[in-house]
Amino acid sequence: MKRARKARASGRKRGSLAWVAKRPHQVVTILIADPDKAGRAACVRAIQRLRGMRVVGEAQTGLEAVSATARLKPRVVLLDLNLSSEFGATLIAILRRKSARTRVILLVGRASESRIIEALSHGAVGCVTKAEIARFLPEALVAVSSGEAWMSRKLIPKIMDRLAAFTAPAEDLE
Amino acid sequence: MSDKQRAASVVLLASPIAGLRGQWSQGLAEKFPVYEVAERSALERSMANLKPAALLLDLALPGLGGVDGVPAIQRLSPLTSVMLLTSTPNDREGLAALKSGARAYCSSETDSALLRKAVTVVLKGEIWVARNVYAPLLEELTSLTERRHKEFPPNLDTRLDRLTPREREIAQLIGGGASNKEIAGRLNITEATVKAHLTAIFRKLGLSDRLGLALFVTEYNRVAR
Repeated sequence: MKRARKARASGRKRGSLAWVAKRPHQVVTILIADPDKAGRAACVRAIQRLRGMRVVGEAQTGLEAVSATARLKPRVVLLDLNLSSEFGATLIAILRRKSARTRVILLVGRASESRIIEALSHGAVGCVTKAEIARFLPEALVAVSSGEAWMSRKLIPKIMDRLAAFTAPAEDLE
Repeated sequence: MSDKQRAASVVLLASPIAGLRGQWSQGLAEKFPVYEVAERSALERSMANLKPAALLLDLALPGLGGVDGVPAIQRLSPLTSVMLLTSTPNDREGLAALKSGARAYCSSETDSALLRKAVTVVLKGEIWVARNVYAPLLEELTSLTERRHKEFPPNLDTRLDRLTPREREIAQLIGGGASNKEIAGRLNITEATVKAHLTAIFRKLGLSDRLGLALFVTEYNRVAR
């Protein structure tokens, strides 16, 4: 109730959020999980301008991300890749178990493609580089919150290689 | 791209519909040498003789047999990047297309500038596919990964085996959320000893803090159960 009032108030002020108050259940809720303060701030800035999207929490460690996800059941978790690989990418699987509706978008700094693919293979459905948050995060949030995936086209050949390795006869595996 | 490379980048267009071939070649002809075929036997000959850099293949080509027919065409020229075009794109078929070895899957009505871009990126080794194929592609990746993990469980056990029985006991208590003081009281040892054990545990498991350890133990218990 309190939240809806607040959204309505800011909706009047900014105009762009007006429909949020009328259909509060359609707001895309977002948890930002990144140990880096500047990284979180960049996400908040990018999301503030979007209609129908709201940051509902921030986490700085893997464990905080897990408990916040269990508590808030956000639609989207923006997860720093370094947090996700802290436990061999199992963090993403844990987040998905804590909240089935939650979709994970990776935030990556300078990371090897194989680490990104590892995280995607554990259930992340988006990947945005930290340098391109302002440019691409809005697009990624819209895609992922409506059930699609969002990542660079350049990752696809690597994913196909991984799929091929899974389906190859056992003797072909290294 | 140098002239020499451009000369090598022959593009073959295969569709029974002349209008479509014309549309495709419009955007491509200024950049690549383009050849056209209208039916399967001509396609087979051209693949074998021209060994084109890319083949734009209409899935409606008679005798092709849809996506399943792609590997047979590919074998005629293994280095050719096969790009599939269809008047009725859908994400499941897109995934099947990529798994058949195709390097692109898109609408046969893709506009000529975009099609030129598609051919260009495919010749650079990338894959061109509509964004709505990304989600089923990742679902496939995740489910195959999960299945693999069930068949060959990740070696959490061996990592935990590196710990002494006392260290394992302490790790489990951390997993339950206990503080150093509580652990000390419970095991009747000093807090300094608990800390020493923790340092050893972190080192052996390659973890950096107790939150990480708690999560590790939780996950371990779930898998082990």
